[in-house]
Amino acid sequence: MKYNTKNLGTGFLYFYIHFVTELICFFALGRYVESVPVMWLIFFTYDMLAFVPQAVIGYISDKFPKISFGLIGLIFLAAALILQSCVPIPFLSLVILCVGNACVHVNGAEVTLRTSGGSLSHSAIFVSGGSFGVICGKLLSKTACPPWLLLILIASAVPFVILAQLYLKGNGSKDESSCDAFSYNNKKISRAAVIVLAVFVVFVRGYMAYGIPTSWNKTTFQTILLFVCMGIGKAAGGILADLFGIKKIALLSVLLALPFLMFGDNNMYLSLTGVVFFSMTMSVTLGLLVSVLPRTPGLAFGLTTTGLFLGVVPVFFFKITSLPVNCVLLSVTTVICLICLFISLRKDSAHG
Amino acid sequence: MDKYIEAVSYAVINNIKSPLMVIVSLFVIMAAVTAVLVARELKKTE
Repeated sequence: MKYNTKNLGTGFLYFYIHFVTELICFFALGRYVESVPVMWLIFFTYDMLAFVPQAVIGYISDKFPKISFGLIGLIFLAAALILQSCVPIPFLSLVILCVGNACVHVNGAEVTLRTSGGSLSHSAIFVSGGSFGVICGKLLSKTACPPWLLLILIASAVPFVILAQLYLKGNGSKDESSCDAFSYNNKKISRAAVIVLAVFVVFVRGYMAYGIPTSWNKTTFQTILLFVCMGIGKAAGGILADLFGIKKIALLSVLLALPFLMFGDNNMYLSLTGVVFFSMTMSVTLGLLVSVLPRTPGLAFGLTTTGLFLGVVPVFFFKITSLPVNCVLLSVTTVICLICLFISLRKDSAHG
Repeated sequence: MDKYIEAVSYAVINNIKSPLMVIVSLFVIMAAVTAVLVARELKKTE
């Protein structure tokens, strides 16, 4: 068993930056909801404008590595907070907030993927920070906390971004070939097919994150637990995949998630175990996409966020409340995901 | 490829009628651009 800890610091640096970003975004979203009557439109706009442009921004970041999208993103987040408190046009600050969010995410993916030497742990730790930020931001928006106080939090993330950029520079990781070590895809099938299959798995994960039946979730503490479990699952997926092999972890996590999610509607512990298992596929799909697009990791990351948005869209328009229908839907989509991952992932090597 | 994006953008912009349509339109344009970028990248690294 061989575990690559080189540059793992970038994962932790971006864990914090991602935490701050999501905290700011969900704090601002919580405040918009107080002032705008069409709540769902605010969330829909946010999901669309923060998730989908990441592919295009990622591509620009791939082609122009000297631009620090991390710092640009933090400046946008600060501007959005200031605008929110000063200008009574919610959609203007919302757009700026979304662009800031997208820029920070893209930079986080670039830094963690390019410095990881083909490991998944770095990007998995980076992504997991978001779940903790989402719940903290949601809770903070309900308090009397003034927005300017959060500017201090944004300022605290600046040295982290600079340090992460230094990691990238120091390792010569700005070279185009820095992600060539990623080769998790099955070489027997076309790369375009791998992209379609991986995006489909992300789509299902996106839907499940919002659409899974959780009637047990009634208190704030239970909501915190749900988001913490999502974060733990995302980080654990990458770390375990590096330790034991990506294919083993991908198939096991999807398979084990099914019974827990199916029978966890009224049982918090079962449901949370299912959430941990299913969140583990996050780093797997990212690893797969970077393997087929190694020269453009930013674009590959953007594809996962586009898939996530597509998965979230149905939740805005209808929610399945019938338990049997949900169980059938969960089973069918899980089996399809299992097949997608089985086909698109290469066999694990002896050392994982 | 670029003509394809142009055609999609034109069709979408001419059909905007509500805020939701603006968001959906933006999505369609961005998805088209992403698809073109991915196709271009796949072709380049073939």
